[in-house]
Amino acid sequence: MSDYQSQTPLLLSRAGESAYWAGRYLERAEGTARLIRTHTDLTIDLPNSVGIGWGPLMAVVGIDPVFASQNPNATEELVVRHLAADPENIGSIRSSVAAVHHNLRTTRSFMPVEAAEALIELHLYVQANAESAIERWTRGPFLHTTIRGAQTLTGILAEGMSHDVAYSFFTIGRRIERADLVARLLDVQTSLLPTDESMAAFGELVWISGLRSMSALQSFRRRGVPASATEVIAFLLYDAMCPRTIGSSVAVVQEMLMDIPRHEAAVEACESIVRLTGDADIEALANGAMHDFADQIQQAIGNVHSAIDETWFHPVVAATQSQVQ
Amino acid sequence: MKLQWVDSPLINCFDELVQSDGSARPGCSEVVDRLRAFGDGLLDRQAAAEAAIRSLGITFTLYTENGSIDRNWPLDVIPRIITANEWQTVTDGLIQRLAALNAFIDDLYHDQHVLNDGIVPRELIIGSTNYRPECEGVSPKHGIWAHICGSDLVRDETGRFLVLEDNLRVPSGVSYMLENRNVAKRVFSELFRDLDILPVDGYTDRLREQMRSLSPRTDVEPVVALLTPGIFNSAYYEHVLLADRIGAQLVEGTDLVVDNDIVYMRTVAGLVRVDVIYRRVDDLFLDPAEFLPDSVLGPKGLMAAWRAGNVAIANAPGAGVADDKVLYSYVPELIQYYLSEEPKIANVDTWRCLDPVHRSHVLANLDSLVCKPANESGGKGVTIGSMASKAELDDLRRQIEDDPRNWVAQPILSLSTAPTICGDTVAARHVDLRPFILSGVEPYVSVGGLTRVALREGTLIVNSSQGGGSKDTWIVDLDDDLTGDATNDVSAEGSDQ
Repeated sequence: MSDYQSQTPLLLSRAGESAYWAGRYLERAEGTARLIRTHTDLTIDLPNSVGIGWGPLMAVVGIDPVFASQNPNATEELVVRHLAADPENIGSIRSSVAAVHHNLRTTRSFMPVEAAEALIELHLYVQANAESAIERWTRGPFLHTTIRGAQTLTGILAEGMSHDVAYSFFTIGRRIERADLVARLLDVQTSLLPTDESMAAFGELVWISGLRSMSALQSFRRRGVPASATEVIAFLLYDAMCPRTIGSSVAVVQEMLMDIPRHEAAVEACESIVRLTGDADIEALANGAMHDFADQIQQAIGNVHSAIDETWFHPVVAATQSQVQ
Repeated sequence: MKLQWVDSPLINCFDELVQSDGSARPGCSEVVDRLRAFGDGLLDRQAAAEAAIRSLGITFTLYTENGSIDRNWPLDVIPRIITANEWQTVTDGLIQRLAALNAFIDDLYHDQHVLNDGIVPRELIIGSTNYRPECEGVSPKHGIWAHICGSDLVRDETGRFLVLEDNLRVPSGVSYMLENRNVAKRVFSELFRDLDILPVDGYTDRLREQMRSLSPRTDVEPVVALLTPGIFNSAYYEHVLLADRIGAQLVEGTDLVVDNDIVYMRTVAGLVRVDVIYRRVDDLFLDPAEFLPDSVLGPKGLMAAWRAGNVAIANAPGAGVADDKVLYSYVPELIQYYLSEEPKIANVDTWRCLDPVHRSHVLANLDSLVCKPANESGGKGVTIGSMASKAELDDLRRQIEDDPRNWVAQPILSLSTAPTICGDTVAARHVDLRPFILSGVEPYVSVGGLTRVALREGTLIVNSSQGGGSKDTWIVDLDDDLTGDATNDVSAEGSDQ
């Protein structure tokens, strides 16, 4: 046995923050692309009389008040342009990928060269082609290439980068963003459920669409249960095997946090999400209580973010109290 | 064939690859023949190089009225070639030069023998905007102040290398020397197989060791940080690359904090002591406590920590005092004074306007001289007399008369040229060369350096911010058998020899 010891490399707070935000923006870009894709499919599948429109998509990604006031009637073209191509919208796919690019430039020295190349390719592609998301017939290929580019980057980092603290922050950022997205999706999908008895059959379509947009449909189907509101809600809250749920995301965040010194506050914030979901009445959530619950979940996720930010990125503690050398 | 080589070199200019009769220079014939044999294929190689630069994200940042933008790095694939023998003499000359410059800086901040002995007029130092009284009495390790120097070399019409200026503050460009080689190896892999082209990447190994050797703490692994002004700086790409290669933390001013004369950086694990700072921030931004009070590019208290010997800074604050274009003209005397040696590389002839005799010569010949202010960089304020209007020359005359200490003049040089791809032709374009010199326990000179090329016909402006390009610089070790039969093998694929 050699006496080799793995070293934890130094990580600047600013670089840790960049890695974290790179993870969040990458997940946001990929998530937004998935949402647009499945919503496009859903509008094709549902009869026009159901008429869910494009407003709900805006609701999932978070309503932009400026956009909403300027565009009271959210047409498909306006919404997709806003979400995919608008450089002024900081949450658009285009802006998110640019933000990943910007953040990873400051952390490039611990990112594999292949990852840098994959990122540049994705960035150049999205900047040049984001407008092609607007027309339906070119939308699919654009979203597909964007999602694939994000997955490629994630894969290269997973297999090519040291699994050090920088990688942990990148992964934590991705999982926090994902948990947040699932919470918003649950909120919106619940609100979409037809109230009219004669339309009840379409409820399942809505849930299947939601699962598909999270890339969780196949995992769900293997459970062999119908895509009812209670089954899907429970799955997206609790399933530990499927990496697209709130439960598994919070578990990964907690596990990653445990390896970073001074993790107590952030881990405790994760625990409160676990308690919140554990106490949930699924039946009630399926019947009107989801909106408030989703708000609470999002609030709790925000608390995890704040704990991370205050512990590692912008600590308020007097500097010299925490010298390690 | 689309691509045409313009065979005749410019009159009165030395060409790096081609002799005045259009034939290849000895040592270059193999490369020139093979480049010509590519035919239009050379354009494909150029396109491949540009594609590689795009996908690798090799960029530089340009400041514009609308903020800074990233541009792809411009590289002309036709290399500039220097024989290893000739390069050795340049290397020796640069090492000699930096030995004298470092001795000079150290002397200025201590006993000032050089001023007391009247070698350099005292008023030049008093009047220098780059002399820092804050540095007096400080003794950096090994007596070295300018750890990293980028000297600009040009050739005159006879092909003799001359030093045009020494950049002792925060010289940049070395990352592009490394990346040019990266790209050249991708697009000319067969040439690298068949020729003995010396590698350039030893530079970063030497830089890393040099930085580590500066650490004031010898009992722990040194923590080295590269201090960058940030992502909007024109050389940010280089800062990232160098930090990566030498294992340094890429820090900004706000990442650092000084407590009790010790420099720390803020990490996720708390504060960690920093031993060595490779700073890419100008002196005046280093420490708001002693220089510009509004600067956030350096931490408050850095200078005190440095003076206390608790942190090394490279280049040392104050090293730029020798980066002055008037003091430049004294370097041959400094070599004599400190080393008792003859300069191995000459300066460009320089008239100092401070000297009344020189000044009257300059004022009488403004239209045939290049006039330079003493303390500007990047070509700022430089007037080429033959291209200036009468009004500009009158204005220049007034400026020189008002502040003669701040002006020097040099003859208008006919810089050497190298064949360069310009659209559908390969034509002669002016080049210079910036090698990088590391001074420390053992001096080191980069193998070649960054060759910059003025892409516009007839111009001498090589700066990438003003439309200049670059070339890979090949130091070629000439085996005897290689010069002899090189012309026989002109196939593009080459054959094993």
